[in-house]
Amino acid sequence: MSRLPDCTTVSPEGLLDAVGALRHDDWRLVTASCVPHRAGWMVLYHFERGERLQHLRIEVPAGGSAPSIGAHYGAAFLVENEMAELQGLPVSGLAIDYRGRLYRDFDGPEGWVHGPRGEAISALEAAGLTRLDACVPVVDGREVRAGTTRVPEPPEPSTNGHGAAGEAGGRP
Amino acid sequence: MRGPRALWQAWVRRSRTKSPWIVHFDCGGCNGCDIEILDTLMPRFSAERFGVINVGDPRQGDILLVTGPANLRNAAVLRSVYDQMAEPKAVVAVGSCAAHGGVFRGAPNILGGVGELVPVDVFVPGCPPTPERILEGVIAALPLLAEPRTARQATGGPSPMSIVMLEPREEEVVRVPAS
Amino acid sequence: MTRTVVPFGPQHPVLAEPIQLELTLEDEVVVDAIPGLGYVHRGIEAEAERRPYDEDLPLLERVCGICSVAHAVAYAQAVEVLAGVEIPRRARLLRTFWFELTRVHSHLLWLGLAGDAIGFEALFQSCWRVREDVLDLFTATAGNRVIIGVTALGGCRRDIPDTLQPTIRAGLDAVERGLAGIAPFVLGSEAVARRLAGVGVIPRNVALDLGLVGPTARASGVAMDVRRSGYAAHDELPVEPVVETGGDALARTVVRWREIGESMRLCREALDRLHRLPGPLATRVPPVLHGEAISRVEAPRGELFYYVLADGEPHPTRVRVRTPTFANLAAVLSMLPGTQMANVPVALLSIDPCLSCTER
Ligand code: SF4
Repeated sequence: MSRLPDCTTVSPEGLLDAVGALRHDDWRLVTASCVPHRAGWMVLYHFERGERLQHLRIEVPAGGSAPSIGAHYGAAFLVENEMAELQGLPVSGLAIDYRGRLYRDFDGPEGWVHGPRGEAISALEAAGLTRLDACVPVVDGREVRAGTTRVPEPPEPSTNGHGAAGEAGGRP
Repeated sequence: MRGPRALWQAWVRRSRTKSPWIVHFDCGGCNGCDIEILDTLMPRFSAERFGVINVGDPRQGDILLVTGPANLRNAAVLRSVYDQMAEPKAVVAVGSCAAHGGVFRGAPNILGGVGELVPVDVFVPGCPPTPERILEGVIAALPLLAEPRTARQATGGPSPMSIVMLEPREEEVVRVPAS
Repeated sequence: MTRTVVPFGPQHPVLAEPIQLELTLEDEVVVDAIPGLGYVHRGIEAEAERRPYDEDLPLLERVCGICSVAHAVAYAQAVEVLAGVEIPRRARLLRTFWFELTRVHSHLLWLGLAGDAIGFEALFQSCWRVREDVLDLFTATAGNRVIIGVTALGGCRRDIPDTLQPTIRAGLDAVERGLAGIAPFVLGSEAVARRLAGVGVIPRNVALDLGLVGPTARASGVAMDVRRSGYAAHDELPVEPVVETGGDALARTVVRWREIGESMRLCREALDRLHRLPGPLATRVPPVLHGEAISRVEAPRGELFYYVLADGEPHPTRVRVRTPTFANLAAVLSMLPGTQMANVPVALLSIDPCLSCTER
């Protein structure tokens, strides 16, 4: 059983003060790691100074949110957007907010299926379409199809790869 | 039917299969295949001696080299790069993950293979394939450039479904030693 | 003064990988830049949470094909901390050998691409020719050219027998001859110096503020190098960080160039110590682990950080990967405002961005 050394647990409200103190002492923000935990989230902030590491831990209950530390570490906006998008943790006070579209939404010319992947896929599956049809562009009201391009799918467990993140099932 | 017109057409068809210009698009792979594609053009393997040039502009390209498993965001870009290329054109999927998702198959954000998005003519296996195999894949695609895709389908020539799958060579088969 | 918003990318010739930058221009000068990511996002972190510990290794090696050894070593180290095992000395030296060779190949690759971006095709081609000799060494020792898969949990999967050492030394000599051949075109070349000096400047205090890592930080005068923490065999093969103070694209080139020499030295020393060294290649790691661990290595582009959380299941509960470019992307956003549009590709390339790392 190994635990992180030099790890302090703080409350989400006390986070900004603790981070500000570290910033004042010239600690470098390495990154933050967010783990879904007991219906809420556990977030670790990792700091480094002169080959020494130190960590701050907060626990955010379901329905809560984490404050943005962008005021102290301007470069934190990327990792905070990532936590918001991939782990679903609401982060309040983001300087640059991608609104959950940093990685996963997909955009394209007019006529492509827009919107977050989960919605797009479930809408498609409800309509009985496969993923190939998701990517058929429409030009002048006519679908431009890739022709007879479908490569037969190798047999796979039916949920694999089709669902949104997290629901695609474990490995056998 | 012989005559100047037929001769001219034969000459055009023959010329089209020479000096293919390639367009490279990374559909979310790990870079391994991409640097091997660049390596193919570098002094040791020097695909440029066959007139192969890497161009950034899809309108000038003949062969689209695609790597990576494709996700929803770059699918649109891949499709638009493909659509911008002029006929006759061919698509070579480089690497295992362009063929079926490879090591990433089942990961939350990938579609698994570019064959679902563009008509692939040649699959080059390997993770990553060596430059020799990539060159072989490009050469395998050359005869397809003689005719535009629609003409190929109409005359019963090589169609998109007659996919060339390169077999692994003897020396590329990894044998796990017993014990 | 007109303001124009220009999308830069996603498919463009400077980088092999797709990234979009939304540049706001005032005439020819950039005033604002916002990155659009997601073209290479695969969801590897989430996928790693579904696979057993040992099957994660090939997956995480493919976060990035250029520095795959760095990812494998960082992940293996985190798992070894969780398991509480020490890896054999032979495995540590082998890891250092392949790791430093990776750095040589990655830096040469970058130098070539930089040559391409500034229109110096001869440098591009020569760097990649020398890099072929490095890849030959990978082929000789590991059997593959790019993703070599030599790391195992608890040690290494492959060995370098003493009988192979003369071949490898001859290969290293060939690389060094090649490097000596291109040296005049890198440091002594006025074309390179004039084109790169003053492009994409990051002063030291900004580098510290943004928490930059790797050669980008060292070129701005920040003496940080994770190899000083003594992972792998660096406790017996210490490294001094290569520091420059210019903070511009030229300084970054010089830092990377000097690091190539440093890495060649480390490779040779690791080989010396491996000669006649008895011992096993790997320690056993149990399949079920508890607790949490972090690990850091100095990848070619800078500090690579792994956090692994284990809850007593056969697969990890969380694998967090913070890659060097993820930290350095902030540098692009801070140095682009004020840059001429024509310098954007060079400035972007000078941090050696790796997007398949950044987005995972
Ligand atoms: S096939 Fe392998 S080497 Fe090529 S991009 Fe995919 S994971 Fe990387």
